[in-house]
Amino acid sequence: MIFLGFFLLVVLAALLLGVLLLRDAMHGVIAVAAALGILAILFYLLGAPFLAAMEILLYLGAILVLFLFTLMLIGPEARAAAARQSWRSGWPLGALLLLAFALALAALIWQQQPITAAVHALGPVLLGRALFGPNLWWSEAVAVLLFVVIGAVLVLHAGEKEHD
Amino acid sequence: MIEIALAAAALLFFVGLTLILLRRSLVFWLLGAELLFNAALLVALAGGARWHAISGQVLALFIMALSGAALAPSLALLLRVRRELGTLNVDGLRLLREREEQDD
Repeated sequence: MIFLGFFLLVVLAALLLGVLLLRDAMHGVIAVAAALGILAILFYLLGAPFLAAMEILLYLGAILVLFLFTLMLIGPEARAAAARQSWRSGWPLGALLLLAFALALAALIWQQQPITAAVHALGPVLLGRALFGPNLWWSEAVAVLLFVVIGAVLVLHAGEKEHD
Repeated sequence: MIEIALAAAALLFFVGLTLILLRRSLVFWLLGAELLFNAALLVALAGGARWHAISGQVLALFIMALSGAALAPSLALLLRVRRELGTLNVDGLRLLREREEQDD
C-alpha cells in the first residue's frame, strides 16, 4: 500500500514537472488530465470511492474537455504565439517567492510527528446522508451558484455579439 | 497513506502556484488554478480519512463544484480576451488598462 502510494507520488511529480516545462498548452492539458487520473486512484486509496469516481467524471469528463474545446476554439496560431514566450518577464522575483514558500512549508512539515491512522472507506451512502441531512442548505446554495454561472457565461457571450 | 496524500497536495500546490506566478499563457494560469483547487481537495480528503469523518468528503465535493463554477466563466472570459486583444499573454492584459485610460 505504501509502496503503491510512493509510486503514485513519483508518477504525479513527473507529470506535474511536464506541466511546468511543456510549452504547447494542449500538451499541458493532457499532462494535467493524466495527473488528475493519478489523483483519482489516490482518492480511492484514501477511502473515498465516490469522490474518486466524481474526480474522473467531473474533472476528466467535463472540466478538461472544456479546456480542450477552448484550445480548439482559440486556434493553433494563438497557441504557437503563446508558446514562443513561455515565462513571464519578472520571473526571478516570482521564483524567489516560491522558494520562500517552499522553505516555509518544508519547515512546517519537518516538525510534525508522523500521522498514523488506518484508512477506512467511507461510502456514498454516508456522503448522501451528510449532503442531504445537515448540509442540505449548502447543497442548495451550490446548486444556485452553478445556475448563476450558466447565466454569467450567457451574459459574457451576449455582450460579444453586440460588439460585433 | 495520509502522509503521501499530504505530500501530493504540497506538490500540487507548488506546481499550481508556479504556473500562476511564472507562466505567461492564460491557459496555464487556469490550469494552475485547477491544480490549486485539487490540492485543497486532497487536504480535505486526507483530513476526513484521518478523523474517519464524512465531512471531509462533503467539503471536497463542494470544492469540486466551486472549481467547476469558477472555471466556466474564466474560460468564457479567456475566449473574450482572445477576441478583443488577439493574444493569450498575461502581460498583454495591461492593454486593458491602457485602453481604459484612452477612453477617459
